[in-house]
Amino acid sequence: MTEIALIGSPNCGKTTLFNRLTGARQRTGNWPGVTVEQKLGSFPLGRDKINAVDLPGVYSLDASESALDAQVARNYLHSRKASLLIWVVDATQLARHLRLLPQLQQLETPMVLVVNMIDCARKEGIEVDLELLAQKTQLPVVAISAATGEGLAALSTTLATSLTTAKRNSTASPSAQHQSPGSLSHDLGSLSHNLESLSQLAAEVSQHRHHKSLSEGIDHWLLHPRLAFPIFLMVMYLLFSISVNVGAVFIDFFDIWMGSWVVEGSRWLLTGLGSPTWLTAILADGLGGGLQLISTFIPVIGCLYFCMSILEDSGYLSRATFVIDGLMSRIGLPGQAFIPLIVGFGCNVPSVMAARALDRPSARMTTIFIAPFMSCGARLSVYVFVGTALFPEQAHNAIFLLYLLGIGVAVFSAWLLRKSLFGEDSDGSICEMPAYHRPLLRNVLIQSWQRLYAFMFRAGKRILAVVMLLSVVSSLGTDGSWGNQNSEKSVLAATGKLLTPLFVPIGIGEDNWPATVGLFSGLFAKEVVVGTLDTLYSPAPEVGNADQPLARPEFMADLARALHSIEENFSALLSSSTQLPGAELDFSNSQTAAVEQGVQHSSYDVMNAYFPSAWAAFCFLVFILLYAPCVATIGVMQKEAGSAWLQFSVAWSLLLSYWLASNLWHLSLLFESPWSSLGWMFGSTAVLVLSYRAISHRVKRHYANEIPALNIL
Amino acid sequence: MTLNQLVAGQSASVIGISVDQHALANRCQSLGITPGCAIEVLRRAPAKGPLQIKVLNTLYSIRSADAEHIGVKPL
Repeated sequence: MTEIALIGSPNCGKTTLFNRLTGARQRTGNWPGVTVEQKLGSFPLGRDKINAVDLPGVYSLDASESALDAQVARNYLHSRKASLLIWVVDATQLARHLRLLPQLQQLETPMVLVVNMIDCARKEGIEVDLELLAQKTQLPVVAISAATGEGLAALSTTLATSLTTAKRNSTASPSAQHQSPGSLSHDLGSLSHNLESLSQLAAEVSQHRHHKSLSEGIDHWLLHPRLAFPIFLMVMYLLFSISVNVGAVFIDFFDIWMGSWVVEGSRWLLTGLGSPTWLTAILADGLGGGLQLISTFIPVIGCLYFCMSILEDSGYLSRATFVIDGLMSRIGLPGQAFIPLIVGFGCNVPSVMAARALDRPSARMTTIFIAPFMSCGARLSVYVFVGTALFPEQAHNAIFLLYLLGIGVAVFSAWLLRKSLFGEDSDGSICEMPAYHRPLLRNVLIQSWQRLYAFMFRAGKRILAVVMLLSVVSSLGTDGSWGNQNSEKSVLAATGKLLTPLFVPIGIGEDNWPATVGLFSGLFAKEVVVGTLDTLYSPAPEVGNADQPLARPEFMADLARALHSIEENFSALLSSSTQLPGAELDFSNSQTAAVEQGVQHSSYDVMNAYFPSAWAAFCFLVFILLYAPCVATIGVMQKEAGSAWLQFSVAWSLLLSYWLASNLWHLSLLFESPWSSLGWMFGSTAVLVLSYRAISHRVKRHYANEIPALNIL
Repeated sequence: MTLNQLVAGQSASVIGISVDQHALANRCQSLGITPGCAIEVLRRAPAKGPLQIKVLNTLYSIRSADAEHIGVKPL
């Protein structure tokens, strides 16, 4: 099949054209071996179906260009897979975009020059002499506006003729190929090799009227010395609160609907078919529960990607990074890293995935490393639950402190990585600030769908695997029986009891095994901790008998209930829209809801008895904040940064959280038993430092040969 | 004089880029920031942040630390 490729500088509107040509007929993946997104699609041209490849935007195809994007584009172009190139340039930026001409000519692949954003050029008073441009470059030239669709018909005609010519020439002898008119010719004189003549060419073909562009006018206000920061904060607040609050409206829908149709439905079906209990546990609770868990992430992540795509498409995102860059540079990160981190307060999963937008590998890895320390919405439900039980008067202060602690640990870890692992960054990053555009719905929808898809199907696989494993150990009893979820008999509970002594130094109390189990189930998703603690602290009387036939779930009634929850949550959102975002985050689950309605009161009392003191519970919360990311986050971390980096990150969070929580606890014991407390503090600090050295040494060795671009010290 | 010493609103022409800054030099080369080209500083970001500059009708942000290595002659 015929393949064509789109090439051009960043922000030339290449992807807008690609989206317009292929519409929904596209799929995304990674280019082999690198985390650069690959976009493939197809579109009909006459009677043929054409495959299209959207190459990453490049400023230069020079071999010295070290950016991954440029390497990917260069390798593809040299592989000569494409029968035709569509070279897209921005009509308002001709002088700069035409600089690719000599490098593209060397490829000797037939090419069509597309002058995009012709409508913007007209508005700015720039006239482009297309005929002269065609004559000088010896390429077929078409002027279009990918945003409005202007000139698309002419482009199709030109593509069709160029493809026919290209095919005819490729069947002819190679020597004849270069001499045929219409295709590319070597013989362009001095023009192609002289950059100065290129800018001259641009000046010749386009008539500028000198005045300030619209973008400069908008920047005057949005980047105004006094207004820039307040506007930036407001936009971030809106991004965060809209996506989290609007997304949260739909969480219950997915939770109830998937819970009924997938989890309970498959349990009912399997039991009816006479499947053994272990198989039901794996399939209904593991596979079904995993699918349910992934689906509850969809609304928030989808909304977040939607809002971010709007910001990106409008051109404000590059301004936001401009405003915050000064502060971020102090911890060795570029301004772009701020977005993934603030997103992390909603959920760490999209936060890790958003890190791929960062160019520099060391910045990307650092961001992925520290993103899990941002206290996500799910963790908030645990703080509220434990806080209400043990220190109700101080709960809000404690929660605020935990958020600050998360930020502090993130900043410290970034600083540490920069000092011990990555060299000083002097990569000469000059970032283009594209012109403002009205966001195109088509672009925004396609982009957010592709990111959501990547989460559901690629990260989803890893999430499913872990959920299935955990559901087995929580269902399997120590006596070999099945169906022991949330009881003392499960393997999980037994492991919890076994490991509890390990956590006594952080203050959870010797008999407090439910808290240990909560830590394990917190690996599923942090909000599950609430459910686990609530059930284990107040074991509900045995209900239901495994021998009894399982009733068929009320599929239609549950669906109606699920739909009804959207309406309810939406009206709740409207009535509470004055609240802080996240303050009423309901990360699904009846358990979280129970917190708001007051959990079974007995579990508060039991918890009070189990934890030695309120301070101990706070130490436990510190540990919950930092100890390890949830499986969903672990899944995307492994996909985005690789297993070695994931292990490093998890090992560091475990060590650091244990060190922090246990030292906080021993601080309270200082008066009681000063010597042992001091001994613990010094000992644990020494262990922490030594462990960090050992791990970072291993990491350095691991990456030394693999990714020289990482700039490892 | 270097680029980071210009005040907001000032225009200059590029003289050259420090020889030891390979990454920066490559980047400038591919963006068309070459000796002789006109460059205008539009503004500075808050908190000692980057500069917004205009070259060939395009807007860029560049960190002060990098701008230090670009020699300019005020117009």
